[in-house]
Amino acid sequence: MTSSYVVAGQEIRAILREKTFILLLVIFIGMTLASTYIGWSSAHTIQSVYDSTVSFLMEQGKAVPPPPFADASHLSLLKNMIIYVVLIGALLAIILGHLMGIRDRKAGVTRIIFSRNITKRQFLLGKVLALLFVLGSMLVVALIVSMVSSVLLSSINFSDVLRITIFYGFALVYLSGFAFLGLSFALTKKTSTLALLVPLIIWLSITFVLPELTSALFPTASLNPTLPQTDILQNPFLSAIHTALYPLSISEQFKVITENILLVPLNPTVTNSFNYPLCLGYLIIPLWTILCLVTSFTAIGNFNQAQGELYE
Amino acid sequence: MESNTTKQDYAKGSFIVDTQALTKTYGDFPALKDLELRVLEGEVFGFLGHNGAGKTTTVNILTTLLKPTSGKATVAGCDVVKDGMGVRRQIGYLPESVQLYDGLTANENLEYFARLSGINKPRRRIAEVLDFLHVSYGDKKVSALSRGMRQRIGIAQAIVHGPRIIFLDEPTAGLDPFGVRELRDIILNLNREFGMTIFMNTHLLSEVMQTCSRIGVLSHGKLIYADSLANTLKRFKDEESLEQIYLKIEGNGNNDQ
Repeated sequence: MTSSYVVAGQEIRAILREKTFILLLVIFIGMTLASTYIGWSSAHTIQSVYDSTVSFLMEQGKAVPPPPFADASHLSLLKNMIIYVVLIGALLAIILGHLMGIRDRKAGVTRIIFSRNITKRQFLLGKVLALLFVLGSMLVVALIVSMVSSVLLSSINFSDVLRITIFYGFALVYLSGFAFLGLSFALTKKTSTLALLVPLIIWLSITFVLPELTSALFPTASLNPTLPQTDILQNPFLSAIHTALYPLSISEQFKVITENILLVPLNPTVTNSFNYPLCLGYLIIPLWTILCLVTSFTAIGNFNQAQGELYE
Repeated sequence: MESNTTKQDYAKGSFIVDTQALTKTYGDFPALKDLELRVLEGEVFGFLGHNGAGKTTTVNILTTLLKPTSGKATVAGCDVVKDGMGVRRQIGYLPESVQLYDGLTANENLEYFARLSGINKPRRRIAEVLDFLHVSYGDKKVSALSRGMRQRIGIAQAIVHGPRIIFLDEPTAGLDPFGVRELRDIILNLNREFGMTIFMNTHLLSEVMQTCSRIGVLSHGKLIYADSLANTLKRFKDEESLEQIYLKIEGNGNNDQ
């Protein structure tokens, strides 16, 4: 285990010197800060328009519509963070895993490392610990930024603080899967290009392609956020696709779960017509992460210590 | 040496490397065939052979980077398959073409490798090793070092944990004559001052002459010759140089096969 800590410490020091990673990290934290402001700004604008309208209607003696945010949670200011985690966060996690996995191979030091008191599993465990530490730290910073900006721009209570914490905890589980994916392919592919390309393709498939085959089957709902009123799912083929793929669409599962955590009104475009339980995501997301972790351990098991360098 | 030699038998003067019918095949290609190799503790062993003879494969197996297909190998009393960690605690390894983390300083590289070898506070030890190797550029980034400088750092990482035996794979490759001479002095000092066994893959026969106490010749995966350098020079006294001796041994070995 000591060897794992040595590897973890080394990886953490090394990643903090990687300019690409630092740039993406700054962007992520910046967008976290912007997220709360954007949420507040749009709500504030809508509220201002509503207030003006109410004044006008009252002068006219006409009926006043209900306020638009009567039932809205203060946490809905953070709803953009869900998208940022799915997009920027997952990309960052893949790059993080890739950099940690490829570094030793690029330097050509794998033979020196594995001629020392460390097994392949201990080596991988060190990388995993470093990944979790860096990702966790990044999300803790994002959590603090979100809390502070929420306090400044809105009023949140202890329950809200707990929900924000749970949101970021769940984001850590989600993002860890992508990080392990980046790590797995960095350990197995012969070139660094391929090592990054494959997990990126998987990310694209999960984030964009799968949702096209599930919630985007409601075309009118994707344009106009009302309840789906189409007959498209009467088509047995499309129904079967939706039924089969919806549980696997982990980005949608993440969105549904986190919208529930942050008390954001559910977007009808991601509502499924087949009444999968809401808790499905609480099962699928950790399973996804565990699967990616198992993939990493399989990758290191097959790693050739004598020929670990890249073909570049 | 009996094949069931125990760890206790590996006192000074015993075999520190012992292989029995060691075989490694890659698919249908036999890289090593029934290798019977023994290296005495405390000697400087030169392992010679043509390109593709299986020298690096042998070193990879002895340093536990590769598992043999069949046969047995023990290093410092530990089986390379059953007790790989036991082997690794007692060996140092310098691969062909020294690779280090370019973005780190020499000291940072050494600190990492030393910690992986179980040295918790390695700075003093690193300073001692660098002093021994006459290295004053520990704070320089590896990317700024010359080939010869990197080689010294490579040797430093191989010896920082005080191994009983170090494996050097083509250590003189790419070095100029000054670098070769400096490396020779280092190897001899390590052997004389610390009793470290040196197992060296090399093509440089002139260095074998000046450094090694014993040589082995590998050809097409088989050990075709092994004896002390002194005996070798006596036996082949009619040959003018070690190069000719080597070519004769190779020729005889290939004829036998």
